[in-house]
Amino acid sequence: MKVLIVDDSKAMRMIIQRTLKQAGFGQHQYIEAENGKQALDIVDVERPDTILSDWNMPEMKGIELLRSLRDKGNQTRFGFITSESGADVLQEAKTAGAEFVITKPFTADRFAAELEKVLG
Amino acid sequence: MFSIEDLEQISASVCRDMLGLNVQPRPIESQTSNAIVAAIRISGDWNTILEISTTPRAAQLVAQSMCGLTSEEMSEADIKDALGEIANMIGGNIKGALPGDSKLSLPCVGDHDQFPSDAQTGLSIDLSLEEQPFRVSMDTPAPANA
Repeated sequence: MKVLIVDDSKAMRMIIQRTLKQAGFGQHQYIEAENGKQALDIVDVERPDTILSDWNMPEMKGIELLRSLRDKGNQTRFGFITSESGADVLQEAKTAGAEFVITKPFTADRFAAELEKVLG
Repeated sequence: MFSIEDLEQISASVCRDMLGLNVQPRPIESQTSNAIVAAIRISGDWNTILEISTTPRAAQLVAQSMCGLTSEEMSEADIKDALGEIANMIGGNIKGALPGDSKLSLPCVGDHDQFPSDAQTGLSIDLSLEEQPFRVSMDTPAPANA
C-alpha cells in the first residue's frame, strides 16, 4: 500500500512516519508532500492508496486538498493528522469526506487503534 | 475557562507523551538572553498569542526527538521547524479547549530579540525539559467583543 503524508513540517512528517512503523504499519510505502498543492501533483503521478494530511498548511490547506480531490472524482481514502481539535474541524472534515481525524499529540498505540481499519 | 493547569497539562503531554522527553515543573526564573522563541496566534471568537521560549539546546533536543536524527544531521531550519510544530500542537489543543470558532495561525520561530516582549500578561508556566528551561506563556484568552 502506498501512503502519502502531507505536512508542511519536515519534523512532523518524520515523526508520523516513524510512529506509523512503531504502530505496526512498517510494510507500507510512504511518500511525502509539503502542502496540499504539492500533494495534488503527487497524487496524479503516484496514485496513493491513502492520504494522511495536516490541516493548517501554507499554499493549500488540508481541507482544500480533500475538497479538490473529491471535486475531481478522486475517492482516495483520506484522514487528517492535525493539531486542530475543535468540534467544528471534526464536522468540516467528515462533511468533506475524511474517514478520520487524529489530533496531535499522538502515540503509536493511538495510531494502531485508529488506523487499523485503514492501514491494517 | 482556560486555566494554568490546562496549559501545563497540554504542554507536558506534547513534550512527554509524544516526544518521550523528561518534563518537570521548574521554578520561575528570568529567561536566558539567547532564547529561541516559537509563537502562534489564535484568532476569532477568542484571541490569544502563545509563546514558547527555550534554550537552543532544548530546541535541539526537541528536533532530535521528532526527527530521529543526530545533532550533526540536523540543520538550524530543522530545529526551528520542530519547535514551531510544538507551538502548533500546544496552540491547537488550546484552541480546541476554547468555545466558539477560532483560527490557528501558522507558527513563527526566531531568536528572542525578534519578538517584541516576553512580558507575562496572562498564563505562564516554567518547565524543565531534560533539565533545560522551557517556558510556555500566553495572553489570557479574550473574547472578540471584549
